[in-house]
Amino acid sequence: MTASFNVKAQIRSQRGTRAARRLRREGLIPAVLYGASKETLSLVVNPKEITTILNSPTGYNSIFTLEVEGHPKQNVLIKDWTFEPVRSTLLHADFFRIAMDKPIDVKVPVRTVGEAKGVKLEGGILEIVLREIEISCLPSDIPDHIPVDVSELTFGKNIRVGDLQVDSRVKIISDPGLTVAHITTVKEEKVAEVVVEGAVPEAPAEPEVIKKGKTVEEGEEAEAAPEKAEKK
Amino acid sequence: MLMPKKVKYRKQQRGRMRGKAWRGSELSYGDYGLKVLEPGWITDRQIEAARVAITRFIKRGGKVWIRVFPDKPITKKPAETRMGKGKGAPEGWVAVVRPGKVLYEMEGISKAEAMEALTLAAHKFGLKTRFISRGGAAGE
Repeated sequence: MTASFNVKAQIRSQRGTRAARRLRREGLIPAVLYGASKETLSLVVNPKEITTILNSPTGYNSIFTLEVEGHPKQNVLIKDWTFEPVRSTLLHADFFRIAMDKPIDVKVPVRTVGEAKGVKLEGGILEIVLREIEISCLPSDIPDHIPVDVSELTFGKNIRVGDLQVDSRVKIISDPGLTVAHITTVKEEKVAEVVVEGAVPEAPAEPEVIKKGKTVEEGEEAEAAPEKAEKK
Repeated sequence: MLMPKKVKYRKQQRGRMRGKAWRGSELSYGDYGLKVLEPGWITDRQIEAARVAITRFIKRGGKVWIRVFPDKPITKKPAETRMGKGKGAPEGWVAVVRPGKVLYEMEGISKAEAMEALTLAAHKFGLKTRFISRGGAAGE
């Protein structure tokens, strides 16, 4: 999906952890540009611009223009990215050069449509097993998402990748046998038995210890013991 | 209670908890989750208590995934014992968690219910936690 984003980037001369940390302190992040059999460039970008693209409706499949100092404008998409685990701030991004006339392999999120019969009438839980489908298509044909109609889904049935309806210009690469969604159930928690007052709680059993090397038999141990005593 | 089936050694040293949880820090199964913000130990009892709190609140409504496993044995010396004479006996199991680790995930319920259930679960831990949900760039 082509988006109207325009990102400016500078060439990054310094590399390594310390240089990257210095950049992040200044409110910028390191990035890298590769693909289309051209040279790999180390870049510096503004994380706010990249986060805006990732949060847009087209998400990580947005194709946007990247302006690098001293290089012509190029169409790219975000191939990979890293978030900080606690604050969820962007730390790094990989940009992939796109040729608009060549098909590319991308992952597209699935989105459920309708309310499943298994949930509505049978009291089950809709479990989405596969959240992304890998497809191959021209960059301009990448869909925002793949709709999955779950309205007819009941217990014992599941929707597989092969059942998905996609545009004729899009080719699904993911295994057609993979389950996308199904209806599942959860056993109800039994209320624990009332503990009798004064009863000693059972000590937890210890797990088995994996023994290493040759096991010494009891008879051998007994023979070995007096020898040790003599040495002392 | 959760505990390993087999172990190589019965006792372990305490270890350090440096850094952040770079793995297991995003939602993988469900739509909602509970993320820990501090490093620490989570005992098998706490994991079970939190699981019971969640399942009792949601009854049969949703599915729960536990993303931590207590695989570290903890020993304790008996009361009124002098120091020395070796390391104490194994007493329980803990999971070592670093900031960012997702402890529980849920699916099949509304956001408000998930938040309520995970708040009840969060009260079982002595660590700071945060409710997270899918959507947005972070996959949270």
